[in-house]
Amino acid sequence: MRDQISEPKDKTKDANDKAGQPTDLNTLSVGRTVIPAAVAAARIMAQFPKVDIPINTPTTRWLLQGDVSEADRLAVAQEFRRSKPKLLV
Amino acid sequence: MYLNLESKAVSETPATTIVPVFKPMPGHTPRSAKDRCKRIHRYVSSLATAASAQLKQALFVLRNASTELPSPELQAAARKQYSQAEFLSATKELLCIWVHLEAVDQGGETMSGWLIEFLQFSLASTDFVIEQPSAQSIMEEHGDCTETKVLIEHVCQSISHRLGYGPMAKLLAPAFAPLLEKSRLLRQQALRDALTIDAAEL
Repeated sequence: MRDQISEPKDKTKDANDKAGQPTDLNTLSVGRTVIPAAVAAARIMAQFPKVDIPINTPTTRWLLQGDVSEADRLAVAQEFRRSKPKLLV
Repeated sequence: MYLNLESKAVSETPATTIVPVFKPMPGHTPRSAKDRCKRIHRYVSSLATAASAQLKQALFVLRNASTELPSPELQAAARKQYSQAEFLSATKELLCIWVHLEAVDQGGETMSGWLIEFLQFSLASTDFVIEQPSAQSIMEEHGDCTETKVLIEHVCQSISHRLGYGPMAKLLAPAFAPLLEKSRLLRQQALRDALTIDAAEL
Protein backbone atom coordinates (compact mmCIF):
# COMPACT_ATOMS: atom_id res chain seq x y z
CA MET A 1 0.00 0.00 0.00
CA ARG A 2 1.28 3.43 -0.80
CA ASP A 3 1.34 6.21 1.81
CA GLN A 4 -2.06 6.37 3.43
CA ILE A 5 -3.37 9.33 5.36
CA SER A 6 -5.48 8.18 8.26
CA GLU A 7 -9.05 9.36 8.40
CA PRO A 8 -12.02 8.64 10.62
CA LYS A 9 -13.88 5.44 9.89
CA ASP A 10 -16.04 5.78 6.82
CA LYS A 11 -19.61 5.68 8.09
CA THR A 12 -21.11 6.18 4.65
CA LYS A 13 -19.49 3.00 3.39
CA ASP A 14 -20.84 1.09 6.37
CA ALA A 15 -24.33 2.42 5.71
CA ASN A 16 -24.08 1.47 2.06
CA ASP A 17 -22.79 -1.97 2.97
CA LYS A 18 -25.73 -2.51 5.28
CA ALA A 19 -28.28 -1.25 2.78
CA GLY A 20 -29.18 -4.26 0.68
CA GLN A 21 -30.41 -4.29 -2.86
CA PRO A 22 -33.68 -2.48 -3.52
CA THR A 23 -36.64 -4.82 -3.30
CA ASP A 24 -38.71 -2.52 -5.50
CA LEU A 25 -38.78 1.13 -6.41
CA ASN A 26 -40.23 2.20 -3.07
CA THR A 27 -38.40 0.15 -0.49
CA LEU A 28 -34.92 -0.94 0.51
CA SER A 29 -34.10 -3.87 2.74
CA VAL A 30 -31.67 -3.39 5.60
CA GLY A 31 -31.05 -6.80 7.11
CA ARG A 32 -34.52 -8.20 7.70
CA THR A 33 -36.17 -4.81 7.87
CA VAL A 34 -37.79 -3.25 4.82
CA ILE A 35 -37.80 0.51 5.01
CA PRO A 36 -39.17 3.17 2.66
CA ALA A 37 -36.57 4.17 0.11
CA ALA A 38 -37.05 7.85 0.87
CA VAL A 39 -36.15 7.26 4.52
CA ALA A 40 -33.12 5.19 3.54
CA ALA A 41 -32.03 7.85 1.07
CA ALA A 42 -32.46 10.55 3.69
CA ARG A 43 -30.32 8.62 6.14
CA ILE A 44 -27.59 8.11 3.59
CA MET A 45 -27.64 11.72 2.44
CA ALA A 46 -27.60 12.95 6.04
CA GLN A 47 -24.22 11.31 6.51
CA PHE A 48 -22.60 13.62 4.03
CA PRO A 49 -21.04 16.29 6.14
CA LYS A 50 -21.77 19.96 5.80
CA VAL A 51 -18.71 21.69 4.41
CA ASP A 52 -17.72 25.23 3.75
CA ILE A 53 -16.96 25.64 0.09
CA PRO A 54 -14.57 28.50 -0.53
CA ILE A 55 -15.81 31.46 -2.54
CA ASN A 56 -14.00 33.29 -5.36
CA THR A 57 -12.63 30.07 -6.77
CA PRO A 58 -11.12 29.50 -10.21
CA THR A 59 -13.73 29.25 -12.93
CA THR A 60 -14.61 25.99 -14.61
CA ARG A 61 -12.50 26.95 -17.64
CA TRP A 62 -9.36 26.67 -15.54
CA LEU A 63 -8.93 22.90 -15.77
CA LEU A 64 -9.38 23.04 -19.55
CA GLN A 65 -6.11 24.89 -19.96
CA GLY A 66 -3.79 21.89 -19.72
CA ASP A 67 -2.33 20.23 -22.78
CA VAL A 68 -2.85 16.50 -22.87
CA SER A 69 -0.49 14.92 -25.38
CA GLU A 70 -1.88 12.60 -28.04
CA ALA A 71 0.25 9.73 -26.70
CA ASP A 72 -1.15 10.22 -23.19
CA ARG A 73 -4.67 10.52 -24.55
CA LEU A 74 -4.35 7.26 -26.48
CA ALA A 75 -2.83 5.48 -23.49
CA VAL A 76 -5.66 6.43 -21.18
CA ALA A 77 -8.23 5.69 -23.91
CA GLN A 78 -6.80 2.19 -24.06
CA GLU A 79 -7.34 1.80 -20.31
CA PHE A 80 -10.99 2.73 -20.72
CA ARG A 81 -11.38 0.38 -23.68
CA ARG A 82 -10.03 -2.41 -21.52
CA SER A 83 -12.41 -1.66 -18.66
CA LYS A 84 -15.26 0.82 -18.68
CA PRO A 85 -17.17 1.56 -15.48
CA LYS A 86 -20.72 0.26 -15.37
CA LEU A 87 -22.90 3.22 -14.50
CA LEU A 88 -26.18 2.93 -12.64
CA VAL A 89 -28.80 4.04 -15.14
CA MET B 1 -40.61 29.48 -4.96
CA TYR B 2 -37.87 27.01 -4.11
CA LEU B 3 -38.12 23.43 -3.05
CA ASN B 4 -36.14 22.28 -0.09
CA LEU B 5 -35.91 18.53 -0.21
CA GLU B 6 -32.57 18.59 1.54
CA SER B 7 -33.97 19.83 4.83
CA LYS B 8 -36.37 16.89 4.79
CA ALA B 9 -33.47 14.56 4.22
CA VAL B 10 -31.14 15.89 6.90
CA SER B 11 -33.86 16.09 9.52
CA GLU B 12 -33.36 12.36 10.16
CA THR B 13 -29.85 12.77 11.53
CA PRO B 14 -27.95 16.02 12.02
CA ALA B 15 -24.78 16.05 9.95
CA THR B 16 -22.02 17.90 11.71
CA THR B 17 -18.88 15.89 10.96
CA ILE B 18 -16.05 17.90 9.46
CA VAL B 19 -14.21 15.91 6.83
CA PRO B 20 -10.45 16.41 6.73
CA VAL B 21 -9.27 17.25 3.25
CA PHE B 22 -7.04 14.61 1.72
CA LYS B 23 -3.95 16.46 0.59
CA PRO B 24 -1.81 14.48 -1.84
CA MET B 25 1.89 14.50 -0.96
CA PRO B 26 4.91 14.28 -3.29
CA GLY B 27 5.01 10.54 -2.46
CA HIS B 28 1.67 10.16 -4.20
CA THR B 29 3.04 11.31 -7.56
CA PRO B 30 2.42 8.62 -10.20
CA ARG B 31 5.72 6.87 -10.93
CA SER B 32 5.41 6.69 -14.71
CA ALA B 33 3.14 7.73 -17.56
CA LYS B 34 1.57 4.26 -17.53
CA ASP B 35 1.05 4.38 -13.78
CA ARG B 36 -0.64 7.78 -14.16
CA CYS B 37 -2.97 6.45 -16.86
CA LYS B 38 -4.04 3.56 -14.64
CA ARG B 39 -4.64 5.85 -11.68
CA ILE B 40 -6.63 8.30 -13.80
CA HIS B 41 -8.70 5.39 -15.09
CA ARG B 42 -9.41 4.30 -11.53
CA TYR B 43 -10.18 7.83 -10.32
CA VAL B 44 -12.53 8.75 -13.17
CA SER B 45 -14.24 5.35 -13.13
CA SER B 46 -14.98 5.41 -9.42
CA LEU B 47 -16.08 9.04 -9.56
CA ALA B 48 -18.40 8.34 -12.51
CA THR B 49 -19.94 5.35 -10.76
CA ALA B 50 -20.50 7.42 -7.63
CA ALA B 51 -22.00 10.29 -9.65
CA SER B 52 -24.51 8.01 -11.35
CA ALA B 53 -25.42 6.35 -8.03
CA GLN B 54 -25.86 9.67 -6.28
CA LEU B 55 -27.97 11.13 -9.06
CA LYS B 56 -30.14 8.03 -9.16
CA GLN B 57 -30.63 8.30 -5.41
CA ALA B 58 -31.60 11.97 -5.69
CA LEU B 59 -34.17 11.15 -8.38
CA PHE B 60 -35.50 8.42 -6.12
CA VAL B 61 -35.96 10.89 -3.27
CA LEU B 62 -37.56 13.44 -5.58
CA ARG B 63 -40.01 10.90 -6.97
CA ASN B 64 -40.99 9.73 -3.50
CA ALA B 65 -41.56 13.31 -2.39
CA SER B 66 -43.64 14.17 -5.46
CA THR B 67 -46.98 14.00 -3.65
CA GLU B 68 -45.85 16.79 -1.33
CA LEU B 69 -45.04 19.18 -4.15
CA PRO B 70 -47.36 22.18 -4.40
CA SER B 71 -48.69 21.88 -7.95
CA PRO B 72 -49.85 19.08 -10.25
CA GLU B 73 -47.30 20.19 -12.85
CA LEU B 74 -44.43 19.84 -10.38
CA GLN B 75 -45.74 16.52 -9.16
CA ALA B 76 -45.94 15.19 -12.71
CA ALA B 77 -42.42 16.43 -13.47
CA ALA B 78 -41.00 14.80 -10.32
CA ARG B 79 -42.61 11.49 -11.28
CA LYS B 80 -41.47 11.51 -14.89
CA GLN B 81 -39.48 8.68 -16.45
CA TYR B 82 -35.91 9.42 -17.56
CA SER B 83 -34.37 8.31 -20.79
CA GLN B 84 -30.85 6.91 -20.71
CA ALA B 85 -29.63 9.91 -22.70
CA GLU B 86 -31.11 12.36 -20.16
CA PHE B 87 -29.64 10.50 -17.22
CA LEU B 88 -26.17 10.05 -18.72
CA SER B 89 -26.01 13.66 -19.79
CA ALA B 90 -26.83 14.84 -16.25
CA THR B 91 -24.36 12.33 -14.78
CA LYS B 92 -21.62 13.64 -17.05
CA GLU B 93 -22.21 17.18 -15.91
CA LEU B 94 -22.12 16.14 -12.26
CA LEU B 95 -18.90 14.19 -12.87
CA CYS B 96 -17.13 17.12 -14.54
CA ILE B 97 -18.17 19.59 -11.86
CA TRP B 98 -16.97 17.19 -9.15
CA VAL B 99 -13.51 17.17 -10.74
CA HIS B 100 -13.59 20.97 -10.75
CA LEU B 101 -14.69 21.13 -7.09
CA GLU B 102 -11.87 18.75 -6.20
CA ALA B 103 -9.40 21.05 -7.91
CA VAL B 104 -10.81 23.93 -5.88
CA ASP B 105 -10.54 21.94 -2.65
CA GLN B 106 -6.93 21.10 -3.49
CA GLY B 107 -6.09 24.78 -3.65
CA GLY B 108 -6.61 25.70 -7.30
CA GLU B 109 -3.50 27.27 -8.76
CA THR B 110 -1.55 26.66 -5.56
CA MET B 111 -1.55 22.86 -5.81
CA SER B 112 1.41 20.86 -7.09
CA GLY B 113 1.98 20.80 -10.84
CA TRP B 114 1.65 17.03 -11.08
CA LEU B 115 -1.73 17.16 -9.32
CA ILE B 116 -2.99 19.92 -11.61
CA GLU B 117 -2.03 17.75 -14.59
CA PHE B 118 -3.66 14.71 -12.99
CA LEU B 119 -6.96 16.55 -12.56
CA GLN B 120 -6.77 18.18 -16.00
CA PHE B 121 -6.15 14.80 -17.56
CA SER B 122 -8.95 13.29 -15.48
CA LEU B 123 -11.39 15.93 -16.65
CA ALA B 124 -10.47 15.27 -20.29
CA SER B 125 -10.81 11.52 -19.66
CA THR B 126 -14.44 11.82 -18.56
CA ASP B 127 -15.23 11.83 -22.29
CA PHE B 128 -14.14 8.19 -22.43
CA VAL B 129 -16.82 7.25 -19.91
CA ILE B 130 -19.70 9.37 -21.27
CA GLU B 131 -18.92 10.83 -24.66
CA GLN B 132 -21.59 13.53 -24.83
CA PRO B 133 -21.87 16.28 -23.76
CA SER B 134 -18.12 16.84 -23.93
CA ALA B 135 -16.26 17.92 -20.82
CA GLN B 136 -15.13 20.99 -22.74
CA SER B 137 -18.69 22.10 -23.50
CA ILE B 138 -19.83 21.55 -19.91
CA MET B 139 -16.97 23.55 -18.45
CA GLU B 140 -17.38 26.32 -21.01
CA GLU B 141 -21.08 26.52 -20.20
CA HIS B 142 -20.33 27.51 -16.60
CA GLY B 143 -17.13 29.40 -17.33
CA ASP B 144 -18.56 32.76 -16.28
CA CYS B 145 -19.44 31.65 -12.74
CA THR B 146 -16.91 33.27 -10.44
CA GLU B 147 -18.32 32.04 -7.12
CA THR B 148 -19.06 28.51 -6.08
CA LYS B 149 -22.55 29.42 -4.84
CA VAL B 150 -23.45 30.81 -8.25
CA LEU B 151 -21.79 27.86 -9.97
CA ILE B 152 -23.86 25.40 -7.96
CA GLU B 153 -27.10 27.22 -8.85
CA HIS B 154 -26.18 27.20 -12.55
CA VAL B 155 -25.16 23.55 -12.53
CA CYS B 156 -28.34 22.51 -10.71
CA GLN B 157 -30.47 24.28 -13.30
CA SER B 158 -28.48 22.73 -16.11
CA ILE B 159 -28.80 19.23 -14.64
CA SER B 160 -32.51 19.82 -14.18
CA HIS B 161 -32.87 20.81 -17.85
CA ARG B 162 -30.83 17.81 -18.97
CA LEU B 163 -33.19 15.54 -17.05
CA GLY B 164 -36.04 16.85 -19.17
CA TYR B 165 -38.10 18.77 -16.66
CA GLY B 166 -38.83 21.48 -19.22
CA PRO B 167 -40.67 24.47 -17.72
CA MET B 168 -40.44 22.92 -14.24
CA ALA B 169 -36.64 22.65 -14.41
CA LYS B 170 -35.90 25.88 -12.57
CA LEU B 171 -38.21 24.99 -9.69
CA LEU B 172 -36.84 21.47 -9.31
CA ALA B 173 -33.19 22.50 -9.67
CA PRO B 174 -32.49 23.14 -5.93
CA ALA B 175 -33.22 19.47 -5.23
CA PHE B 176 -29.87 18.66 -6.84
CA ALA B 177 -27.75 21.09 -4.81
CA PRO B 178 -26.80 18.49 -2.14
CA LEU B 179 -25.15 16.43 -4.87
CA LEU B 180 -22.61 19.21 -5.19
CA GLU B 181 -22.55 20.76 -1.73
CA LYS B 182 -22.11 17.41 0.02
CA SER B 183 -19.83 15.74 -2.47
CA ARG B 184 -16.53 16.27 -0.71
CA LEU B 185 -16.36 12.98 1.15
CA LEU B 186 -17.03 10.92 -1.98
CA ARG B 187 -14.60 12.97 -4.04
CA GLN B 188 -11.87 12.71 -1.45
CA GLN B 189 -12.29 8.96 -1.13
CA ALA B 190 -12.02 8.51 -4.89
CA LEU B 191 -8.89 10.67 -5.14
CA ARG B 192 -7.21 9.09 -2.14
CA ASP B 193 -7.96 5.60 -3.40
CA ALA B 194 -6.64 6.35 -6.89
CA LEU B 195 -3.42 7.91 -5.60
CA THR B 196 -2.66 5.53 -2.76
CA ILE B 197 -3.57 2.10 -4.08
CA ASP B 198 -0.61 -0.14 -4.76
CA ALA B 199 0.39 -0.20 -8.42
CA ALA B 200 0.07 -3.98 -8.48
CA GLU B 201 -3.63 -3.70 -7.64
CA LEU B 202 -4.42 -1.31 -10.48
